Amino acid sequence: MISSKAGTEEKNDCIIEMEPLNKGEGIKIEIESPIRKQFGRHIRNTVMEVLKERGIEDVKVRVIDKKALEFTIRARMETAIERSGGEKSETSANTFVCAGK
Amino acid sequence: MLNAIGREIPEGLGTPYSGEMLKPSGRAAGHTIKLSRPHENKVLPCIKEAIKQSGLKDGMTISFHHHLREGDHVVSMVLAAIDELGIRDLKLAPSSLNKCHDFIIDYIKKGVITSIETSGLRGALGKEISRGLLKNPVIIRSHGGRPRAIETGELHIDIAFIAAPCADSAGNINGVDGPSAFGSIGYAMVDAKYADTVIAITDNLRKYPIEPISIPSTLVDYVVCVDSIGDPEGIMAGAVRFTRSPRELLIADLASKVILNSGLFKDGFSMQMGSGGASLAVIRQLKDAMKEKNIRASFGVGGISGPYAKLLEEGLVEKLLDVQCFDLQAVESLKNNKNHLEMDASYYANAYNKGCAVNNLDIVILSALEIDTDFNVNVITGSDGEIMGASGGHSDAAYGAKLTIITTPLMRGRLPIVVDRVQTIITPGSSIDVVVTERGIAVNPKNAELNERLKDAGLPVCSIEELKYKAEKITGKPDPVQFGDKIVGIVEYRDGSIIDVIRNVID
Repeated sequence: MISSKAGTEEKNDCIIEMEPLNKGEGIKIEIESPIRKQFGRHIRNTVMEVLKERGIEDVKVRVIDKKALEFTIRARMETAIERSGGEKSETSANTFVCAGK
Repeated sequence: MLNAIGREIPEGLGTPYSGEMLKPSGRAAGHTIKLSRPHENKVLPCIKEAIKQSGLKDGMTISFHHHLREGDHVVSMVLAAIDELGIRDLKLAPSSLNKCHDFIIDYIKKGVITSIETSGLRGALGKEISRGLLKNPVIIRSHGGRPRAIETGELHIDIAFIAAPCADSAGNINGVDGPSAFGSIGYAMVDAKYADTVIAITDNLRKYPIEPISIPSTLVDYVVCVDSIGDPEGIMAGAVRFTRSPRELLIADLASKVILNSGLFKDGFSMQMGSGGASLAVIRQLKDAMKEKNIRASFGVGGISGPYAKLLEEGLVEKLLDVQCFDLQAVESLKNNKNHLEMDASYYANAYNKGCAVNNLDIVILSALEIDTDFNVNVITGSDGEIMGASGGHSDAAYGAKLTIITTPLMRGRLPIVVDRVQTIITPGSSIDVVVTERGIAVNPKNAELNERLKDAGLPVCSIEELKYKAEKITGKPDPVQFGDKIVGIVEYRDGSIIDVIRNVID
């Protein structure tokens, strides 16, 4: 797994930055969002869910949120995982196409 | 104690909102009187000199008006002069404040300003005050509430500073001529009538007498000529363009259908419109229907924008009553069209005079930052609780009009706009008839007749709870925002009772 990035700074989008950590270091999540007070917990949950689905255990994820809806955050997460060379899943081919840049 | 719409109002802040308009008693306030001598010179060389002559002292109240919007230079020049004179502990009571006024933060920190009473607060100033910058809570009043407070004496202005696009040596003022012309000077007209001392600050000093006269020399003590009172581009910050956003167009389409089917769309109807993209699109749609059905509006009210002026020109509306121009076309129209009338803020929206313009309204379209399932509307704080908007004429027009329509997107980004409980109530749900979003229309249950009319017309009507559910299904339910114990803002309803308070934001 290598460092990767997905998403844009457009309104209603988000940027996901991923950095592999050493085995045993666990999951570290940083969230920047203008709606962190209301949705910080939701964003964290979404990130955790996707990581769990992909079986990723040692990674640092930085979310720069521009008020993205949940499915957008999911899509950007999937793309970032693909680009990092991380674990593949059945939906990977689709998400890569729709996630764009 | 809880007020009539369930907001906790701590003891000692004032009368909690009762659900009805409080009835006033007593007499109106007034300014001090003075002898004016023949051929007296009112023109002073600089702002500092005018402040000295005015007798401004620590603890007094100064006022400004916000017609120059984001282009205002006057507040900054005056506060700099006051600071240099070492005067402190002032109450700042402008008709509103904009993002260009962020520098006020420095004067609060220096102790020059210790209280603020305004319609709106934005930018860094709003953020800082939300975090407890100001010693005393800011008082938020509507455009009708402010003249009420001034005329009843609740807000006494010691010195009013009036930005004058055109003034003569005797102190006559208008807002339509000169390089910084902003049109109607309606908010300042009230200050001029009730302040003890009135200082006109102009960049266009003309020979006596000017014409037209909006604020007469009888009310003005001193005149100061400066290089520039405002930046024309910033003055036009309110200018709106026709929206291309499919969502706004859809909302506008639904809102015009609500009007067309409301039973009020007939010859001689009257209306107030906001300046937002959606209400502009409503104007365009109504225009076609008006031509088709040969319907003319009797008058339009409010802050006036170019498209409204165009309706006047085309004869589709017979009169415009204007408290503030949003763009240059409106300024030109006020100057040249005799059916475009300037009005002061009290005439516009004050509930405590013998008849204000909003009381004659059929229809008003207003916006919302949030609306709750009781139809209460917030236009002052963001969903994170930070002060970022303005009360404006929202509660005044909503109270006066027969049909009050709120147009808003159902979501902004991930934020649902229809919620269980708005952060701050500016307008009580009892004044709201219908909310129009791109995903449905909800009618206040108090207006069952309208509900039937809109259903019969085939419009997508649902309950407001349903709208809330639709939004949350997409966005998720936001976590509640935590606040501190300090009250940073008091929101007065138009009768001066307290409809809500704003508590400090915690980071």
